[in-house]
Amino acid sequence: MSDGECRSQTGAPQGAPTRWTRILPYLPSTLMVLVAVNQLILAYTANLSAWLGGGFGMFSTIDDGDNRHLRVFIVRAGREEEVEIPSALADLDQRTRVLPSPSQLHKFAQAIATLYGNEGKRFSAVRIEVWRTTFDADSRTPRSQRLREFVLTIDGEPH
Amino acid sequence: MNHIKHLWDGLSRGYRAAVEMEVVDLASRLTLLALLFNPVDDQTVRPFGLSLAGVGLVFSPAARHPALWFFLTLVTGWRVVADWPLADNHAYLLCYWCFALFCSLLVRDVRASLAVNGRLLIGLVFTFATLWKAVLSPDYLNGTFFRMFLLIDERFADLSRLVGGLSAEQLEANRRLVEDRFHDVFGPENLTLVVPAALTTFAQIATWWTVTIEAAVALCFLWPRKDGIYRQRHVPLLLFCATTFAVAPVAGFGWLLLLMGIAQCEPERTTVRALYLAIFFLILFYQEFSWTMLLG
Repeated sequence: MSDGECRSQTGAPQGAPTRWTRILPYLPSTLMVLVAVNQLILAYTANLSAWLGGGFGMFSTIDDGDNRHLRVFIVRAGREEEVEIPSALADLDQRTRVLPSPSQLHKFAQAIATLYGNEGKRFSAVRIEVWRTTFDADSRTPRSQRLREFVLTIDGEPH
Repeated sequence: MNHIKHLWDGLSRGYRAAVEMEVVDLASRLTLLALLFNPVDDQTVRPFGLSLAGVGLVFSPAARHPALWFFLTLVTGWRVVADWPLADNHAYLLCYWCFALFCSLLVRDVRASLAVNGRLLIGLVFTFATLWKAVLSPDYLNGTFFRMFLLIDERFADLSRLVGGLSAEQLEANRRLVEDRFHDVFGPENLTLVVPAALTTFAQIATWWTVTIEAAVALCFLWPRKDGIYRQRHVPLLLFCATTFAVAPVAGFGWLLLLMGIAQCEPERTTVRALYLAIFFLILFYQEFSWTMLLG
């Protein structure tokens, strides 16, 4: 830039507006719309909670993730045993409840398999169920609904 | 008497300086203040966010430099990406707003660009919020959300006690019944919850008030012409912030909405700017004092 060229208060050039300077003011809102649309898609395809993901659906539903519950089963010799979720997986448990996508469920199941495997337990698969509890509008009767199910065989191939 | 006059003169000068301050300076300083009031919720980047906000406030020319806002965009964006999908919506909005300040400081008409961003971001936030409440959510308009939320969310316990007359023990019993039911998916079909009629009425009013005021903000801010209801856009936003954040424990979101409101406020409307500033600090008091507990 030559000495004589005009600069704004912030140091930005003051010449004729370029295509970039015309686009720049609209980038943040464009980004916001893209993230919010992605959140909508994930809410419908992967049961992402409306509260999270940048779609501004907070305070619109009771389904904020706390009303969801994961049930974990270990399969051995054709029989299933329900097991507790170890406290070491509390963070992963929360992430899986609010976004039970296949990849998140796979990650969670692998973590369960690793933890129980390290304890010396032998099993052929880990099965996970994602449940959601909602309430009837008038009677407040609770209703539980199974949102998703995921099975991880011990060789790591999902079923 | 002279001391009182001096004090009054000082307050008047401070008020005039604040409401007549150049809008970009005011909006950027309030953003930095909001970053200090409500630091980025990630231990890795929090020291960077606090330091950058402090530098911007102490060395005021830095607040007008795009580099500061570029790094704040990275810090606030890191929190959203690293914590996916658990970051609250206002963490996203904070990142968009820092990005908006960065982009605006690169163009010739900084004030106009920031005003466009403030207007669009507020309009879009409320459009998506209204879309979820009025169309997509299965349990909002029928009142279930607010009824259950007031019964089980600890953050609203003082309000539930105030409007519903519930005792702390009744609220705790309700909460335990519902939380146990969440974990026992084959549990009882009937929960013996204590739900006073006043709480049900309040939940119904809150349901319709919230969706109506949010739709009004969305409509006013995204109104295509700069006349009619667009001119009145500050009214629903100020009303929303003054009422909602009295009970909703998300002060950071309120501060963001207000400083974005200031950024798109016409310079000659000093009274409106003063109201934005007053509510900005009112939210600080809402956050620090539980008025519902004091009244209860």
